[in-house]
Amino acid sequence: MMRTILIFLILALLAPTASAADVTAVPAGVSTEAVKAFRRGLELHKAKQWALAIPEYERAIELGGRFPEAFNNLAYCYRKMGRIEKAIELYRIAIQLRPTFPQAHDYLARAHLAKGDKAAALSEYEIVRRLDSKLAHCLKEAIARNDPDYNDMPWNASSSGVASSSAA
Amino acid sequence: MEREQLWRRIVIGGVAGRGRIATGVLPRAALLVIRLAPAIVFLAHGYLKLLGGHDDRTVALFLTVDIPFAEPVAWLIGALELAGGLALLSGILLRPFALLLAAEMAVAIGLVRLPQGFIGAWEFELVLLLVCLGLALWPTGQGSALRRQISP
Repeated sequence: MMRTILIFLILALLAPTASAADVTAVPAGVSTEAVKAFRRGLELHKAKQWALAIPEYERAIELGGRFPEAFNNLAYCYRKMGRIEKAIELYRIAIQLRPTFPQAHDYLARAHLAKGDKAAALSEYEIVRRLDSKLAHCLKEAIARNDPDYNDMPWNASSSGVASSSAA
Repeated sequence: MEREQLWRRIVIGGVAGRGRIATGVLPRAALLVIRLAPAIVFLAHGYLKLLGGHDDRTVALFLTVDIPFAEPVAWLIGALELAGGLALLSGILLRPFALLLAAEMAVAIGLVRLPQGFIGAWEFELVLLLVCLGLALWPTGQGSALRRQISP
């Protein structure tokens, strides 16, 4: 009996864990107001209205939504507006909150590339290739071309997990 | 001997004997349950790191927090967790492995979990750290499933 319970417990723990979160996910426990602000930010983000998306993401964070997706997406908007240093700072917070967040590492590499720091981009690539091979492939091409925006995963890209399904 | 009796009064006596030195099946079963909790967790995580396809993920984590020699260290940590889980389960080499696992949890909290906050983040590692530390400090022999006797 004891052995059966033990085997069951071990198998339950060995069950595959959820895959890496996409950039639209909101973890449980975040306040409703923060989620609403984050979703508004996502809609503006999808429409590439970076300057309008930023205050919504910032509001989500102020309202207690200190989750990696919020910092990652906020950083993305800053990067697209050319504020690379600010973007790098925010990507680092996203990575601190979830060290194995592939998109944040990918975007951080691109931010380093935009800054002209190819060595730092390659060092981030070493992390991305261990977390998400498809993202890593795209990033490698971007680094090879020295173009941070090359294959910068668009919304609805199926390979990146940057799905819009949960954004609605 | 006095130290041993003090432990019993604090840990076993408090649970089963209202201050009296408890002997018999219940304290042994309680200790087994306490060992079982971290053993299952470490066995599962060690298995995933070494054989379950999480090796790359572990290396990525170690690279992120700037741990040197990330690949061999990831392998070592996987081996420690697997062997440590077995040690906690069987009671063989319980104390040294419990101490190593407690140290690992302290490093995990310091390097990875601390910025993520307490609730939902380093609370879990803290529980594992304290349970392992308690087992490491447990008087010799009593933690082992192989030692059937709790002497009076």
